[in-house]
Amino acid sequence: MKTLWTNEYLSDLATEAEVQISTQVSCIYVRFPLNIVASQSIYDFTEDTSPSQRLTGIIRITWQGYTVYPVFQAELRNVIVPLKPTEGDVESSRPFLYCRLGYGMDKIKFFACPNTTIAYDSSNINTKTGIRANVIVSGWRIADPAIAAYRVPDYVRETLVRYYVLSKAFKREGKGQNLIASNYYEVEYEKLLKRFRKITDNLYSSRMRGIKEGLIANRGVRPPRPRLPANFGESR
Amino acid sequence: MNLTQITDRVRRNLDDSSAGFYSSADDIVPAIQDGYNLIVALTESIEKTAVVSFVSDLVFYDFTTYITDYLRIFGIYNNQTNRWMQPTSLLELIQYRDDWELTEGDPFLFLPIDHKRVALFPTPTVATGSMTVMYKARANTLGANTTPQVPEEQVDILENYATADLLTQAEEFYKALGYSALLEGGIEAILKVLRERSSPNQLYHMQEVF
Repeated sequence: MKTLWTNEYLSDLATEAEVQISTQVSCIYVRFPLNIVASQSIYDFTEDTSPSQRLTGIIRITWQGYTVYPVFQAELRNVIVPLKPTEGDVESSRPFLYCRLGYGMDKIKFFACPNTTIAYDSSNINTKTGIRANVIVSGWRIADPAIAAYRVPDYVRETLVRYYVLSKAFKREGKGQNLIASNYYEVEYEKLLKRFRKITDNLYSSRMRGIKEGLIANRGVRPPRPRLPANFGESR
Repeated sequence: MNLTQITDRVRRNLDDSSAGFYSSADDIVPAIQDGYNLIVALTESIEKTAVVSFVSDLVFYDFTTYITDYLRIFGIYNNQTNRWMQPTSLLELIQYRDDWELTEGDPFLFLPIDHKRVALFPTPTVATGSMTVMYKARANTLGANTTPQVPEEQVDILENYATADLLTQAEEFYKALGYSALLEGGIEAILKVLRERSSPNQLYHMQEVF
């Protein structure tokens, strides 16, 4: 008789569970340096760092300690400089903006284009010395159960993954299918996930979605139109 | 109520006192411990303090490397300056300084980041002294005579978790649903107790008013 649940199948479900959990609740924080090359403005988190990173959200990027601010493509296009997607790199200074949209799932574009090469050094990125020497990205990433540091926090991992795996496994067509059991574990999974999200939110981490204060946003996306008095230009 | 007493109550719920279908060591105690780990994490019912030395040049502290049962932070006292440190947000730090990680000085703000890391602001290049970290702790391992650290009136929450867990292993899902509902109610009750306990003292406020 065909085996309904092989070890490989259950293992796949467990990996899938952690990926699902980490995309629904931002719970795996990472900091990593980028390998910066002069005159290259687009960087890929799966290639320009090691191990490769799959982020769900960027919290902060620092260029040798200085903040690199997020910018929407519309702001970059209409306010900063009218760039075409693949050209218009201005090699003038250290980058002070980055744009995430439009260059691939795991890529960012720096503006201005980096004018120096900064060697990748991941040995010491939590100290001032390391921060001053590197370009560091911090963010929330998708789980990778093969690496201990990239797993869902262990205080809920075992139970949440178990509920997810059982809800899927009992749903599978074949002898041994049990829809009541599947429904039970699905409900338990949703309830626990909701509580996990709540305690994670208690950590009140900040995430910068776009630059709204100061630098750019107060300039608007269109030139200002001054309202002139009704008698403007009339001769007396 | 200690672990042995909870184990007996779970066995009684399952009508297993004489049958011995469930093993205490392999089934019941692991289920209680599993529930204890989870409930302590969800309700954050255990609070502790620990002294951690400042580390030269370090901005981002991974407290799990200094404190084995660390769950999350809720306060820091700087023993070097004898001042409380205040929690802050990333946006506030960026408003102070664009390169806030590189600031030199005695820390007076802390930024919780995730379930491990906390950033301090500012930080000394050459560190002296220590901080007292107030944190929510993970569950301890229960021994036979250990009483779980949850509010006394809600200690049956572990009994409910373990009973539901063992009933599902026997594919008794309808029966497990009842205990699962009791578990949910118990978590809410613990959260309410903890929330009310941390609100201001009512008697003190009465004195202020009158």
